[in-house]
Amino acid sequence: VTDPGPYEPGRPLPPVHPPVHPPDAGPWTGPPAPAPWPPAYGPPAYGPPGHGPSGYGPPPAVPARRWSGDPQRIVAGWVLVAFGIAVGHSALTGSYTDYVRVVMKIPLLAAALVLLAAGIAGVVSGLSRRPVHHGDHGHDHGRRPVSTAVLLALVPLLVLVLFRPAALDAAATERVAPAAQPDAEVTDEVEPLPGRADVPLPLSFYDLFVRVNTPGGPESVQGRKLVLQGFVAKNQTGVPAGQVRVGRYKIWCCAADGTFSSAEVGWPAGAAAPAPGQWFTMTVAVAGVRTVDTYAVPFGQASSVRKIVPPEPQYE
Amino acid sequence: VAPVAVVFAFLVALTVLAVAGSGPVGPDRVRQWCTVFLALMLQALPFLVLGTVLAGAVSGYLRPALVARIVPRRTAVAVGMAGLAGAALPGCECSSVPLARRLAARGVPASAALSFLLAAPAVNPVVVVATLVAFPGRPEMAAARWLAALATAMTVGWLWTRWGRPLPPPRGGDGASPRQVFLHTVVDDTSSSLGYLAIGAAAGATLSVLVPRQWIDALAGLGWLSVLALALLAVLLAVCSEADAFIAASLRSFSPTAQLAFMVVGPVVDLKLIALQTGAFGPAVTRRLAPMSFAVAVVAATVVGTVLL
Repeated sequence: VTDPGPYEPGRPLPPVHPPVHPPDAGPWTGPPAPAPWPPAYGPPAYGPPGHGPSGYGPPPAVPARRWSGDPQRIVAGWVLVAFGIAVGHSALTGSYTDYVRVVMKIPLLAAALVLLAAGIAGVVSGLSRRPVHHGDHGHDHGRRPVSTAVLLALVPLLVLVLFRPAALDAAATERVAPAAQPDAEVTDEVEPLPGRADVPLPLSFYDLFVRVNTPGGPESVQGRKLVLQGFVAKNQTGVPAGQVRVGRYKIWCCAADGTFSSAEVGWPAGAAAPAPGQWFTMTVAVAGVRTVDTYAVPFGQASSVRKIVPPEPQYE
Repeated sequence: VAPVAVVFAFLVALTVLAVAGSGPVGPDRVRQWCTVFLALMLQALPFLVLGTVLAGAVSGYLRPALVARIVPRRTAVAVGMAGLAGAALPGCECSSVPLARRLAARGVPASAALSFLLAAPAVNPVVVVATLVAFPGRPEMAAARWLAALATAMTVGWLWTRWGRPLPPPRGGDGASPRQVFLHTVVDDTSSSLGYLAIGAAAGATLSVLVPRQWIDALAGLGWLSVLALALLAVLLAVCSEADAFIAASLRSFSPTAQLAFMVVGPVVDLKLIALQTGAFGPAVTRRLAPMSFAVAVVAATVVGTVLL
């Protein structure tokens, strides 16, 4: 406190200085409030009323131990890790061929690796403390609620892990009939089948179907012996007695665009029963085509049929 | 807690249907649904990851100053350039959505970013080759598709400069250093896109399982309406732009113009893409963008198909 000097008339008086109090006690806020009467029930307060060397200071500032990670990013990271593991496992074990083409193996593995790396890095980054923003009161930067979208990604993950749905099979054949029909504008004749006429020729159901639906195609397969691999369809409506609808799916991109192409095969006597969904390899002499709805379906007599396990991949 | 409950309830419903359902929602159909659903997810996943990694690189390392130098000052020119630049991204629609969103956040005009988004899935060399293979002996199909797709993308871009609205700034992808921004963008964009992709794949799988192919054959006899019918089918089936040429080629009872409409509409509007766009840009933008792209694509396919095919 500096000495104001001698008194001069008219000069305002200096403010009344507060009573001396310890320098660490904070600004003077007036005399202490009188103790309430009657006093609160309880043990008397002993010891100094405050902190600091004088015993009257404010309590020391406790550093906030509040966790400052990012829960959204941690959840997202774990979802990515789980996705990466499931997709990588599917790509390595070959179960992915039930859903997409074989050529997708490398892209799927690469995607799985990126998902794993990004997921782990995301979890680490979410757990680490972020810089504290000074000066903004109550406004918490970056702390976002857990996003709904991330959790929706759990649905395909759990469907894959818990259900592990099989490839499109006999049960699905009721829905898919190839939406194709002879094109009047196409005038070019089909090429003749390769190989000698008396040697059975392996051919896919799809190629056979396209061939018999092209002008000149039915004649090119008439009487030829073909080796076909496929399964017995569940939907056998409209198939003449003694014959069995056998076919296989073709996919262009993924199972979402799978189309079922089929043939009606006369079943040899004494062969294994054509149970729906059972895979067979068969040698069939094509006898002709029959029109179903608007497209041509080949039919013929099988000379031999043999049960097989489903091939990998199951699609053509 | 609520999202977890939704996911859980969905799985329980699926299980109950798989065990006790009948008819169109019986066990066979549920199994088919699961297969198609996973197929759509797995097919899109590598392309989605490619797109988010590129988006992360854009977000972390592409400086707005550089963008300002590259992108032409006049938006109309920028839209045309962005459409042509789409040829450089050998992916499908799933990769272009996250990338376009981060490009817009780095200063590329919204209309140019959308033009890139619409062009990239249909004009890149991979898709052109796939179209050539799907239509052997008819290279004019690939040419018509390329032209119509580019015209669609650019027209929507130009319309957007006039009637569009700004794209909302993307959420997530914060960070203190370029490396951190890159990493956070990849994590945030991939995780949220996966969720929205799941919605789109679920919708696509539902329609794919419930709509019988016989209906599609019935649409062929509708004359010029069949163009519209195949365009709608492209929206509902949500197949990848790299495969839709093969499906279009198998729809041989339809006119070439209708097949072209199928291939031009599919990469710009489908259920999967609508879900991804909603996730990236919000429902307000998608409500405007999807119908606009659909209308422009149908008109472009009709005009190009009438002239070239």
